Amino acid sequence: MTESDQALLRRVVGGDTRALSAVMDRHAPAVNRYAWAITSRRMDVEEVVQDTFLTLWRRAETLAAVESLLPWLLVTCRNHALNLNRKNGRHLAEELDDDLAAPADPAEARDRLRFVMAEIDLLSETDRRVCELCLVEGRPYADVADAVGLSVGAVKQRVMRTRTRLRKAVIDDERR
Amino acid sequence: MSVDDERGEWRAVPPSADETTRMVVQEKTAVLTRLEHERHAAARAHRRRLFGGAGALVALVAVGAASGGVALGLIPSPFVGQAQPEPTSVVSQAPSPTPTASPAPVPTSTPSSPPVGGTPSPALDLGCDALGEQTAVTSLLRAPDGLDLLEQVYRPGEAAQRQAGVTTCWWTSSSDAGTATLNLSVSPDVDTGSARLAERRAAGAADPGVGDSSSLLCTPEYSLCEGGLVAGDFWVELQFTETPELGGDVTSLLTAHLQRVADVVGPATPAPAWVRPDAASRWTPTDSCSTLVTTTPMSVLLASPSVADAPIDLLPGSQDAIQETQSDAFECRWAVPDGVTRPDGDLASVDVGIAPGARWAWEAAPGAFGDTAESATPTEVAGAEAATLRCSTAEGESCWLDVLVDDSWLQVGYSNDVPPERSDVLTVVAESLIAAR
Repeated sequence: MTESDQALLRRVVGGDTRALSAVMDRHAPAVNRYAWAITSRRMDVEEVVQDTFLTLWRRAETLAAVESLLPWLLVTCRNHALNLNRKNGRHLAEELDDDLAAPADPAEARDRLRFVMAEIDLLSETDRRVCELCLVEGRPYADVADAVGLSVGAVKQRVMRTRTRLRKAVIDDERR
Repeated sequence: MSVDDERGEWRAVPPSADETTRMVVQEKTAVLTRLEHERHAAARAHRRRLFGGAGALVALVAVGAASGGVALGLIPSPFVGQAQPEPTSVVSQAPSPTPTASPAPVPTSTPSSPPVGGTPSPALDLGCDALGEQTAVTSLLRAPDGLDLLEQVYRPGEAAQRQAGVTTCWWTSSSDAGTATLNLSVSPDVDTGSARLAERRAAGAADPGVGDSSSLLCTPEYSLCEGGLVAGDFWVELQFTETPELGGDVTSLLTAHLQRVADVVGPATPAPAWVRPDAASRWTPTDSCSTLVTTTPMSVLLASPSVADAPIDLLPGSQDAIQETQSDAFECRWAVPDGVTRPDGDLASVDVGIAPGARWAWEAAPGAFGDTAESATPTEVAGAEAATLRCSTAEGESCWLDVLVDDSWLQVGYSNDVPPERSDVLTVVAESLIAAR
């Protein structure tokens, strides 16, 4: 049976890297295609996708109410791409499209979702709305999550230890 | 302008299925690698790209493999003990043909006056690359990618380990079949090391008979082996993981590796110990976090009534015994206790790390995503010599404060998701800690 995103997310919160690997198996292709469409240099695609899933690992415990991870991943990917494009704009001699990842024109923003529309169409109405508001209208994910009733950031308290520490503690305890 | 920079052409069409498959395989390996030092929050500006980074990606694309299966096959099994295809030079190197340590030139350090307060040197005068080469790490891992986990420090605890002369190296080797990692720490504290090893053997760990003293214990259900040795003036700790499961010959492979490590470190002479500057004595811990106090209860400082006013020690967790014992840093957390409901908007916790004497580390501290004009802001903190507010810029922006006081590094709020609009509480906490010291 295929595990739901929520089930995988719970395992990620518990420090299970295999669950993160499974999340990547499921969503990394779509995130790659989106990153492909929004980064200013092809060499940045890999970096942006890595950063996106590392951010998921770090912030997983704040996402317990998320039904599908894809909208959050796409928004996070967009933000990392924007940051990277800004950074490249500061450091590269040639002029780069500074706001490539965040076009003011909604039509252009929709166009950059063209490679992931098939996945977005499969989402629930709530998650499709999140994609529309965040990725097309450019609103912050936290605001949108609140608007559509996702209690992001208020679902769970942060774990008392980092995930790896927690995992090791469990192992140590079981060994006793 | 390179092909990569010809925007509008390559972005006009989606990546092919083969390209996507290759990228995902590569990214998974990279992410799992970076997770191992996730707590370092590796700076983008400093981090090391796996497999040659962009160049490798371009090279992989250039291979033009016809199917995803071929793409997956580009990465060989990471384990030398298993039958596996030959690796391609693009993503890995063939294992060392001779599974024995290279004749190791004995690293020596010229005795000199102990450095006071400056940037500390590892006790073992061998970097991780050299250590991996001289101990033939390729005899254990097929295509190791190595990192020096203390080369750049992000947390006070890491600075304290460096001040104790510790070296921590980490290697990983991955394929679609699994991942193997080797964590190896080296310390000059042989007394503590010898005691730890004896305790483990008494608890059932095997004695592989390496060096002056050694132990090895593999736990298949956790895909984890932990070993250690004392050889000459050095204590070495080793952790090995292999997923999805440990190989059948892992014990013999690790015993051989321990022997090679002993052959390299045993003859070496430790560098002079780092000496803490006098001013840092005001922060020297005497009884862990219970000695760290604020002038005002933390729940009041944070305006978060459900936060407990007594800090807890952050447990060493997955750190090995060297990392666990060789830090004199405070690593404390004030948090909402388990089972207590916290109102929305209240901060759930605040972490405080203090590395006594780590001025050098404060001066070198980077932001989690690289310091920029937006992410690093000089901040006034009463009682401190200097302070920098840093904010990461990923989704859910969060901030922390790095403070220089008494030649020591005080860090407040790292990993606590303190948003920029609440970053003033970090200054309040720092000032209260300084006033109460």
